[in-house]
This record gives sequence, C-alpha cells and structure tokens, in this order.
Amino acid sequence: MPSDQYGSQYECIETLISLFIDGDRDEAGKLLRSWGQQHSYHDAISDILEPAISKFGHDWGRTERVSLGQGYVLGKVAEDIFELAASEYSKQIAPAAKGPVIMGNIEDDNHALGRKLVITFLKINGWNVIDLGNDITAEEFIDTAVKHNASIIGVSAMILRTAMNIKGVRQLLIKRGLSDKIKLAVGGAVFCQRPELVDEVGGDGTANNAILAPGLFDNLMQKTRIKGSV
Amino acid sequence: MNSSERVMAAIQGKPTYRRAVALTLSLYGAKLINCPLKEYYNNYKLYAEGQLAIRETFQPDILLAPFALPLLGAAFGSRIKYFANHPPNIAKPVLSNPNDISSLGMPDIDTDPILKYIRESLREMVSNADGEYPVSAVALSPVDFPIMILGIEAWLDTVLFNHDLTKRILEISTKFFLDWTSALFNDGATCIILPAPFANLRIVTRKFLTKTAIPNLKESFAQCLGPLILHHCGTSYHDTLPYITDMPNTIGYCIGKEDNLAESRNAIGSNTLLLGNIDGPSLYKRDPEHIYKQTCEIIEDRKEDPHFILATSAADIELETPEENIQAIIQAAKETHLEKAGM
Repeated sequence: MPSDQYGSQYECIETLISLFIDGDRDEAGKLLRSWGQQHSYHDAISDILEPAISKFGHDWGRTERVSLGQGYVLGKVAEDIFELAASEYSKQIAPAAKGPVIMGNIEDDNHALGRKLVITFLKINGWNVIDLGNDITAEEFIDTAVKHNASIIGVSAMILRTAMNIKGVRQLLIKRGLSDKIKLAVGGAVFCQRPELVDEVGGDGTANNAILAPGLFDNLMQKTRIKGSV
Repeated sequence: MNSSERVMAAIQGKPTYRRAVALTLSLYGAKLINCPLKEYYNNYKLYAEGQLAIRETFQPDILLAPFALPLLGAAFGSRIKYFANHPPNIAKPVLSNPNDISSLGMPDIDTDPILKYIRESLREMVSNADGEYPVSAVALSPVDFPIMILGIEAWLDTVLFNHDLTKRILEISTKFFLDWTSALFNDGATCIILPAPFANLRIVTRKFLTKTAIPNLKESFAQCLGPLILHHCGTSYHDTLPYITDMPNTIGYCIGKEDNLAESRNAIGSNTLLLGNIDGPSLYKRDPEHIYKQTCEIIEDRKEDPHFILATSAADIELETPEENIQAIIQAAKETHLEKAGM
C-alpha cells in the first residue's frame, strides 16, 4: 500500500491519531508500515509515530477522546513498528541509552497493565528498564536499584489501599540515606484520580499517563544529577 | 418513615423529610465486630453480624451484601489473596490464556461454598432487615465479569483485538450474570449494584462500548428479575453517562467524586436515581466538621432533586476511618431537612 494513500506527513499524523482514537491497531499498523516502506521504519517512528504520540498523550486523561483502551492500542502499535524497525534497521535505532530504572507494582498490587504501558513508552524513549513485576516489597525495589546502580524507581498501584504501601519505599529510602541518589516515580489510575496521593506516599513525581512517563523520568534523572554534582 | 420507605420515595420521586443515605460500609462491618477479614469474607454469620452493627451504629438507609467481587472469580478457580485491612483481591486469574475459555467450568450457584457465602450473607441480612431497610447486592455485568477470570489486561486485549473470542467469552459471562442475579434477587436483594469499568469510556473505546458492551448489557439487563444500579467504578462517569441512560431495569447511576451532580442529572434525565457524591475512600483523612459541611452543601445543591440519594462513591470506606467521620454524614442528612420542590 503506497504511503500517498494516507497523504502528507501532517495528514498521516492526524489519520494515525484518529486510528488510535478508534482503537484500530490494524489500520494504524498499515499506515506506519506504508510510510516505513516508502521511507524507512526509523522515519515512520520519528516522522509519524512520535509526533502522533506526543499529541495523543497531551489529550490522554483530559478529554473523553482518550481511554485506557486507546492508550493500550497505541502501545501495541508502537511495539509492532519498533519490532520491524529493530529487525530491519537495527543500525539506525539507538540502543537503550538511559537508565537503568527499576519498575514494579507495589506489594499487594497485581494490576500490571499500567506498568506495562509505562515500560513500553520508556523503552521507546531509550530507557533500559528492569521490570520486577507485581507485588514487590520496598526491600526488593531498593535492593535491586542499589545492585544495578539505578537512579529511579518507578512504582505502580491501581487502588488507594495498595498505593499506601508505597510509603514503605519512601521510608526505606530515607532510612538507608538514598533519597538524593534514587528518585521515586509513582503512578497508576489512583494517582490520576487523587493527585494529592503523590505527596502522601512520598513520591518525587508522577505522570498522568504512560506517554508522559518518559518526560517524568528525564526530569527525575536530571534532579539526581544536579543533586550529585552539588 | 423508615429506610425502605425513604429509599422507595427517592425511587418514585415522592417527598421525604430527609435525604436517604447509602454508604459503602461493606468492609467496615468487620471493624465494628473486631473480626479478621479472612473470617469476615468466609463466614456469612460474621458478615451479617458486622452489617447489623453497621445499621445499629450509623443507620444508613441501604446495607450492602458482601462487596468483594474477586470472590466471584475465586468461585471459578481464580486464586485470591486475603489482606489485613482491605477486601480480598485476585492474585492469579484462573485462565492465563483467554483462548482456554471453553475449558472453564461453571460453579454451581447453589452449592459452591464461595457463592453460598455471598448468598447466605444476603439472606441473613434480608432476614435481619425484616423490610425495615433495603439490602443491595453487588455483582458484575457480563462485560465486566471476565476481569475476574482473565485479569484486566487479557480481557482488554481480547475486547480490542479479538471479536470472535470476545463473543464466546460474553456468552459464558452473560449466562453466569443471569443465573447469579436471578439467585440474588430470589434471595431477597432489593436491587443489584453493578460497578462497570468495561462500560466506561475512560477504560474502553467508544467502538467497544457502543457496538459490543451496550447491546450486550441491554439484552442481559432486560432479562433481570429486579432493579439495577450502574456504578462508576472509581473513574469518572461524565463522558459515559449519555451513552447508557436507557438501559433496561436500570433505576439509578452512582457517579464518581470528580463528576458534577447537576451535569450528571442532566445526562441521565430527571426521573432516574442519582447517587453520590462523597468520596468514600478518602474519608479517613478528613475531619468531621469538613465532612458535615460538605454533606450539607451537597444536600442543599440537590434540594430540588427528589430522585437523589446521598451516597459515597468509589470503593469501600477504609477501616481506619474514624467513626465520627461517618457519623458526620448521617448527622448532616438528619439535620438538613428538605422543604422544597415536592419534598
């Protein structure tokens, strides 16, 4: 399918956003592959996918146009095109250059979906992610971060009760004198509904959706560097 | 006027002296009778005793049968985990692959020990209530129940990318929904509250909502033996309400804390129950004076709305919530009399 079927770069971006909103993974994939075949898969990512993600992420959670399901579709489309790009244009794709960072769901929390979406977008943005999975204790988070010399721990929780367990991570960071070296990113549905929770559990920051997570991690990494240089 | 009459008046839009109050105090009963949660969620006598204590302590107008939906998943074989301070949750869904749905056995609604616990709790509560106050059960709609046997991610992936498999799973889920709600109504449930994340635009796509979820819900709700209330399930209902206002047998909608009461009323029409708008899970960290004031403001805001029931939104009220914080809501409802608009 020739790319001109989808029009100019601007039209492709707008069409791709519409396809995300419709949750149409197949058509979104076709559009990106079409652009990739005419240019390169790397260009499909940088010229079409990334601007579309940026615009989509801005709307996610702000209007009814974007749901968790639509974000999930976007994540899958991104994974699909990155896989193609990695296999055919591996020289052009930068290896994971940032991190490592530690990700996991807090103790007693088994809702992995949000965490997996965040990991997808972190990887797309060049982060090396160590995923610990569900139901992770404060000790496991911090021991792993220390072992891998990670500067950021990302902790996910979907509901209020399990989100409160994140306090344990903050308390242990303080106890071990690691608060300046390791930043605590928190996230999950409950933080979108109750932003005051970020401070309550001792988080250093949050992102309203998975697409915005790489920006948060960039900021937190910068803070650890500034602190480290003082 | 007793609680049953007060709630019925709200359903019918008739005058009442004070506003009916519905609080999500399923969990809190365990605190009042000092019962470990694993026992509370397994022994129907303890659950009913806890809810009797809720009624005696706070006198809410509606009581809830066990609000522990993962137990439904456990009845199908999902592994659940019990906690010291909150209801059980799914630790491992029974199916790791949605394609294995045909291998899933259906529990016997009359003999399965977990389902029996829920039903016997309900029956005991209905017997204790003796018509004085309504007892609501809590269940999951056909489009939401698969979360309990597959997990959210696998079910979301299925509804987004595999239409045929979605249809097969919904056939099984719908059968269970109809059997289960029939049993609950036969056991005496006044109504059934349905938290419905997969019928909410903040979770699913509009395409799934309009093409799959709503047609399924309309068909299955029409076969229900009693009234249903749709619940926002922790996320905003604002965008979704306009799509789901004409569901069969649905007498009300419970909105989320970020939803606006007046806008929600406009969306659902003037003759349907509207429930909300106190944030239940955050009550533990607020002071009673502030809760009292906010409750009075909500009642004042809705004074010309006879179909409004003051209710807590989202999940259960936390165990650590001081009793006086809950009493503040009841006190405000008792002291704020209704004088206008047919009240």
